[in-house]
Formats: sequence, C-alpha cells, structure tokens
Amino acid sequence: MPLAVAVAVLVVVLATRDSAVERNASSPILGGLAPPVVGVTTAGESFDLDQWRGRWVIVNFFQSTCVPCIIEHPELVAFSERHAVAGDARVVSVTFDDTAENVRRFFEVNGGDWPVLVEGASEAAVAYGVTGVPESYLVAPSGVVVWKQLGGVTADGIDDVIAQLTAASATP
Amino acid sequence: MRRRAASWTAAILVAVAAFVYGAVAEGPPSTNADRVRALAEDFACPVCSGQSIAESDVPVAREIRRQVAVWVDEGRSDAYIRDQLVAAYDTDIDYNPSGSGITSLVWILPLLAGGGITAVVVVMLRPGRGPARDSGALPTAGRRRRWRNAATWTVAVVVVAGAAGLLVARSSGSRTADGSITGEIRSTAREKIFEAQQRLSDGDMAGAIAAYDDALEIQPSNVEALTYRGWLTSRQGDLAGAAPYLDDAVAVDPAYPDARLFRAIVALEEGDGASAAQDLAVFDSLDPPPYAEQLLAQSRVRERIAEARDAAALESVEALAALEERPAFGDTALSVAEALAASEALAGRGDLLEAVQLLDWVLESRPADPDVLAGRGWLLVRSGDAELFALGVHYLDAALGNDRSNARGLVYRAFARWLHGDIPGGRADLAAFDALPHRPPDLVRLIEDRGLRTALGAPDPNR
Repeated sequence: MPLAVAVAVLVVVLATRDSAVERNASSPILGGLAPPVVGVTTAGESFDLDQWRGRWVIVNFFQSTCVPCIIEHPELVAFSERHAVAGDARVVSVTFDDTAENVRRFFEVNGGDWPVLVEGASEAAVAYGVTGVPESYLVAPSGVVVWKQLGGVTADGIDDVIAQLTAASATP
Repeated sequence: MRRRAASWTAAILVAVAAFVYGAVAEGPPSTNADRVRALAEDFACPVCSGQSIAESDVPVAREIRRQVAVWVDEGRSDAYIRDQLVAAYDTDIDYNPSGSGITSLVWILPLLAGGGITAVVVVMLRPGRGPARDSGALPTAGRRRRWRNAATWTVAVVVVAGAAGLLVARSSGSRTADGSITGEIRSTAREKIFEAQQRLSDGDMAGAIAAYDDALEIQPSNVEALTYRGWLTSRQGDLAGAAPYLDDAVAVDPAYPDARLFRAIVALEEGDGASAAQDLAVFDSLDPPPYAEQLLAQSRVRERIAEARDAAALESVEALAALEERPAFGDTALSVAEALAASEALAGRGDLLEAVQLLDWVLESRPADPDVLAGRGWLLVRSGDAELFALGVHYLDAALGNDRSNARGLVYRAFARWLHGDIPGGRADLAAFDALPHRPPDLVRLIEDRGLRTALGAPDPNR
C-alpha cells in the first residue's frame, strides 16, 4: 500500500511537470538580457553584441557541415539583405563545434557578409544553452532575448515575429 | 531483544561508515584536467539519455566540456560554473541539485521521509506493541488496528514528501536571474543598464539614474552607462553636470554614436554650434542605429547646427562689412564654407543681391574656387529671372570646368537642368554626384528635401 502511494505521487510529479522538450523550447534565457556574444570573427575583427544595441539581432548558431544549416542559410542571406538599407536588423553567426577554415569556405560558397564568430564561440553557445544546430535567438533592440528557434529559420518567419513584437510593444 | 537491537546498531554503523568512506576516499581533483573531468561528470548531457557531459561525445557535450575547461583554466569556482550552466540549460543539467533555497528539500526530504518511516518501524517493533512479537498475545482486532495505524503514518509521510517533491520540481524549473528563490543572483553592469532601461520605460528617471550609477560603480568605464547617465542628467536641465559624463563616454569609445549624438545636442543647447557640428560629423561617419537617426531628426539637430553655423558666419561677415575699409577675403580668418553659409543666410532672408556681392568679394581673392563659383551660380539660378538663370548656369559650368567632380557644381547644375527641362542632363549630373566617394550630407539632404531624384526619375544608389 505505501509503495503504491509513493508510485502514484511520483507519477503525479512527473505528469504535471513540463516535458523536457517544452523546457528546451522555452529556454531559461528568454525574457532576460542577452548573454554576451563577444569574440573574434572569421575576418579577424573583434565583435561584441552590445555594439548592436538598438537593432534587432538574430544570433544564429550553426555548423558548416550541418545539412539543415545549409538549407537555412539562404533565408538568413535574404533576411540580412532585406534589412541592409534600413539597418534595423542584423545577423551574427556563431560557429558550433566547427573550424574557422570550414566556416570561411562555407560563407564563400553560400554567401552572407555578416560577422561570424570563431573565437569566443563556445562561450556564446554555452551561455545561450545551445543544444544543437541550427539554433537561433532573436535579440530585441532593448537587448532582451525575445524568441528562440530550434531548427532552421526563414526570413519571412523572423520578420513576422519582429512585426508581432513591434505591434505588441506599440499597443498601450 | 538485545540481539535484535545489536543487529540494528551494527547495520547502521556499517551504513554510516560506508557513507563516510565514500565521501572522503576520492579526495579533490589534483590537476585542472582532473577538475574538468570531475565537473563534466556532474552535469547531464542536454540531448542524451542518461549520459553525463563526460560520457557523451555529441557536439553539445563537446562544446560544454570545452567551455568548462576554459572556465577551469581561468580559475572559476565550481559554483560559478554550475550557475552558468544552470542559467543556460536549466536545473535539469545539474546532477547535484542546489543545497540552498527550496531545492535543498531534495536533500532534506529523503532524510525526513527515512526518519518518519524508521519511527513507524520502531513503534511497530516496540516490546509489547509490535505486531511481530507474539501473534497470539493480542487480539486480532488490536493487531489490525496497529497495522492500520502504521500504514496510515507511512502513507502520510510519503504523501507529504511527494507533495514537497512536486513543489520542488515545479519551482526549481522556473528559476530566473531576477526572480530566483534559489542560487546566487549575480549583478553585473549589463544587468544594471538593463534595469535602468526598464525603469526609464516606466517613466522612473530617478530610478534609471540610480541604476546607471550602480552600473558605473561596478564598471566606471562602461560607455553605455556614461552616455545615458549624461543624457538623463541633461534632460533634467543640468547641462554642466551632463558634459563630464558625455566627455568621458567619448574618451572611452570615440566611435559610440549615442555619445556623439547626445553630446552634440547638449552642445547645441549650450549655444556651442561648432562643437555640435564636430560631433555630428563624427556621428555621420559612424553606423548609427535607427533610433539614433530618429532622435536626430526629432531633435532637428542638423537644422539647428546649420542655423547656428549660418548665424555665426553671418555675424562675422556683417562685422567685416561694418568696417570702414573691408579687407580682402584672403586677409580674413573666414573660410570658404563660412562665406557660403553666410551667403545662404543672406539669400534666405531675401537679400539676394548682398549674397551675390559677398561671393563676388570672395572670388576677388579666389577666382577659380569651384565651390564659390558653384555657390554664386546657385544663387542666380534660384533668382527666378531668365537672364540671371542663364548667368547662373554659366557659373555652374565654370565651377565644373575647374573641377568636374565638384559636388556642389554637380548637384546645383542637376537642379538647373531639371528646371530648364533638360532631364537627361540633370540625371547625368546626379549620377556623377552619386558616384563620388564622398557626398556632402547637406547636398544629399537637399536632393531628398526637394525631391530631385523623383523629379528626374533617377535611381537611388542606396536601394
């Protein structure tokens, strides 16, 4: 009898708790100040995410040999080009378990002229709680992480999120 | 009975000895590599089933191991590393739940539950009361009652422990940096700046200033905190108090657009148009974010700087004109830019003739200066008189004859050609201007404000 009750309680605990997948999709960093993305890019220049405060920023974690990343890449290029003139949104990529040489070749082949972090990449990936690639985070102009995407993004999808968040913040 | 008690005592002693041995036998890691390995064993691989970071070889485990090694080499404490990983991956990553706050119940509850159940067992085994003592000594109803009581207590203990466990599971899964009931709350300059921004958006200026002060106490050279502390001080009307913050911000990072913009606005409000113009020139050479451009437009900084520059130039020219014998332009401290600004100010107030005479005076000293020739031509083109228009075009042609890539000549002549109906000619001049490596911002704005590009059907080089 006591064993049955203990088992029942355990079932209740496990059943009422968020599933691991749900917790993963929500991420503890959402709604908080964006963890630092600081390091050196493939171009050898230093980069600090804080310098882009005031703009929407997609922080994209990727690997040059990951097929979903290759499929996603043209969408990031489209998003970057779409916002190039207005300058209101930008992309920074962070390599994940990859080499600088592979990443340079990836961008030469697939395009994209935004900063790609190679040094400091592990620290950024761990700070964002990245579990696989591609994985992207949207940082609002205020510097807060407002959205997370597990898997590939699309340019229209990111713009929809930005439009929704902009409309929501404009609503009194 | 004594033999049974001795058996229980021996069993407990053996268990305690085993726990003590297990706790002290291993000892602390001796090298950084040992420490990395030990730490990696304490954390679960986020995407694996039942494997630690040390055991798994998936990319995320490799990345975390790599970062743990960096932290260990930097001399970070285990608590710091645990906090970092839990903040990013949530408490599920931690094989050793926190010993503080509500999560400490994970440690306490088993002891409480064990103690409760032990108490029940002891009660059951007490001489004369335990159901196992002598099955024939008590009536059946009494034995049943004692078993029922024991079972009820056991269930109660388990239910309480289970409910507490549920509470632990729910609360420890929603730990945040600013709402934590467990673990350390680390306060950094970035977090203070974030707090200041939130206070500002709530209209709490005093709170925002206090938060920026806190950020500066943590990191005195934080350029964002310096800039916005200065800006808020200026919005409170204390321009003198704002200046040192903004000066420090520019000294720390001369390329921070917000500091340049705010310092330009403060300088304008102090009547120092020249300093404002310098900061604006640097601001234009940077890559300012959209909100800074919006603030620039809303504050009419460009217009106010231009007005201040024109007024200062006009004052200088009028002071020279008031002299009994005006010196040659080349003998004065006036620059061509100031002379052109003064002529525009004169034209703006309707003194076209005086404006032209002023540039004629400059041309006496600098007859081939393309900017002055273009400026004179632009005055005449706008006169509305056909003969003066033709003369103005002549001056513009002369300016471009001396320097075919003269920006003012190209833009002014594009306007003249458009006014004359020569659309292809105007478009060619505008294309030549667009191809210049440096396009003066005042001319770019002139094109935009007057809709020249649309009128000529010329493409926008920025799109």
